[in-house]
Amino acid sequence: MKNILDFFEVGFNRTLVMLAIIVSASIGLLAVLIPLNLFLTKAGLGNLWWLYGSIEYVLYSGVFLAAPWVLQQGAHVSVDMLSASLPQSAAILLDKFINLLGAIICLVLLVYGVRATTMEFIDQTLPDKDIQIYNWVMTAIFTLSFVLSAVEFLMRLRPKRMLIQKDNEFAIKESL
Amino acid sequence: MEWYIALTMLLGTVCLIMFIGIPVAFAFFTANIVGTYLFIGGDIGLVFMPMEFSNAITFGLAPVSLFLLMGEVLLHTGVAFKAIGAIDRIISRLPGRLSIVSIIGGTVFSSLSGSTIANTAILGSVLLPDMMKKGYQPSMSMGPIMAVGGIAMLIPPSALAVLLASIAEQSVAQLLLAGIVPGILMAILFFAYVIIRCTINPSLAPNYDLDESSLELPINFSLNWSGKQIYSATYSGKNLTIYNRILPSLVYILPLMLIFVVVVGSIFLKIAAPIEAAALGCLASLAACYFFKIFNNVIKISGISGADFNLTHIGNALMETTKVNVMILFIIAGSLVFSQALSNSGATNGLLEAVSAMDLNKMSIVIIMVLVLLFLGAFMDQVSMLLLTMPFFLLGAQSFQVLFDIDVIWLMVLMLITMEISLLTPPFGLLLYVMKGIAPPNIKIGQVVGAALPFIAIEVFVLVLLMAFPEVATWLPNKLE
Repeated sequence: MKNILDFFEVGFNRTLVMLAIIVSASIGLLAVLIPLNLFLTKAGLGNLWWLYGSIEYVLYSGVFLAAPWVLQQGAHVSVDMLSASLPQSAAILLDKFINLLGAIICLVLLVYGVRATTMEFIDQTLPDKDIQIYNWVMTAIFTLSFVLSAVEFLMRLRPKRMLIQKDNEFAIKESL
Repeated sequence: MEWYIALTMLLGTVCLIMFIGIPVAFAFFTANIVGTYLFIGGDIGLVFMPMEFSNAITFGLAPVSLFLLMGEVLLHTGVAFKAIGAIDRIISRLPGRLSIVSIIGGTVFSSLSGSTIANTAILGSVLLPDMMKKGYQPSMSMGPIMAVGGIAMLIPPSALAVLLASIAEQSVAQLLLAGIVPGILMAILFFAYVIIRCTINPSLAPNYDLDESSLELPINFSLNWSGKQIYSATYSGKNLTIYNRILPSLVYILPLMLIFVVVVGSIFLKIAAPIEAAALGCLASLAACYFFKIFNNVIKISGISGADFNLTHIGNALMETTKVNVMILFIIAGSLVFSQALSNSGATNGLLEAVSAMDLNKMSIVIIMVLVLLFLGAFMDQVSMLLLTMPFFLLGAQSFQVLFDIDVIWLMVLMLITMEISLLTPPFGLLLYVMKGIAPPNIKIGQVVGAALPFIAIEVFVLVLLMAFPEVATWLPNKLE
């Protein structure tokens, strides 16, 4: 029988997949808009003046919003020399320790992310760039990234990690 | 705090956390917490730290995502594999034929797809079984597959070269051009090695009869629309064998060449900046895929198989791009803030001053850098080792590159080759274990290492040649200037 954590996990997985799809779409959009801008410029038809100014925001948001999904997919590079050399029981223990430590790192970053967001929100500071988005939006994205990453690390500590692969494949298929 | 204590503390934190098995990016984030707390203003420094990550992800990194997308589109639609099929048809009578096919086809395939480690796995599963079945010895079957990554890393469009130049805030175009001559040189040496070894000892790669009966078959051409044939023709003239051999190769290779021409040509002719060239490369890849799709349904020519793909494949390519791109940029975000912590702690300056005081010359320092990369490559992937060493080697006014007045393009080419060698170097070279994983169970790790050694020797030779004659790398970019 499914308990409340199982339902939460399904929702959590779908959220991560949806964020990854949005980030993927943004990369696809860049691949179309940049040549379009080049064509417009070379043809003397004007340009998409906002494009290059927005790319840094798109990249930054994309990296931090999709990072928890990449973590869930096991695609963040890690050095597994130690766990590969340990006997299975010790490797399982080490894996739990890694996940706990990962969660702690994320929670520390989360705390400072919240404090930075609050401070930037109160000050309403803007970056020194052509296109200006409030700094608190950027730090809020940072904070959200580490909330989701912390949850992902903690979820890995569950005895049975349910439905992840199946649900991800389903969500990706549905969205495409 | 003394600089060496700060250095040990910061590098030690990254290495320890990494060694435990925490993802590399999170290891850097941990060192950032420690470094920022100790050296950049304590608690209040940590409150300002999140904004620093926003400054670390810059516009200069955008080409990386687009180059990755270009490769992923070709991989997921199956078009990248056409390169191997095309080369396979052209080469028929050379000693060690399949090894040559794996070097040329593998180079094109690897250049397009970006990741050396993934390529070894894919090429190994595609090419190795056939080579083993035909009696190729491990040194001639596994060696070339593992080695092609070295060429791919140098010949544009190389995602790692773009990444290296972007982070070092150097000219992407110049680095891409600088890799061409050493890449071609390495490829020629690989061919020469395979051909000479297989001529001296044919049992390494036994000759076998190619089934060329299909070359005698008439060439059927048909044009179809909405499932109906609207035109058809057959050729069975006297040049049938030649056409049957060349036509499919042309059809397979030309679109892939077009991508290379679009990317490198647009940079070389200064029509586009690297980010624009990368985006144009994405569109050219998509155009190549649709070109192959035409040969799947609209135009049918005997001996030519088109590509069958749909939007789901493109969607998967985008998702895969996101995965690799985020993995790389997440490490970059962490490592760039880490290098600030190193700098603020005095560790960077302390180390650089200590090295300067040793009165080393330029070549000695280059050799030290190469050795450090070779050591790190024993247990780290390329992006991680690059970012760990950048603050000392290349980044900023206090790096070895600036202090010893080293030509930056030359140094980056050396770094690229070294990083590739390090992935092949025993005892821990990652590619050795990837190959061991896909090789038949009776192949021992010693055989995999043995297969890699001659190619490592060639790569080391190219490295030494470049160290002795920097012009091999710098001639082409200087010509452009």
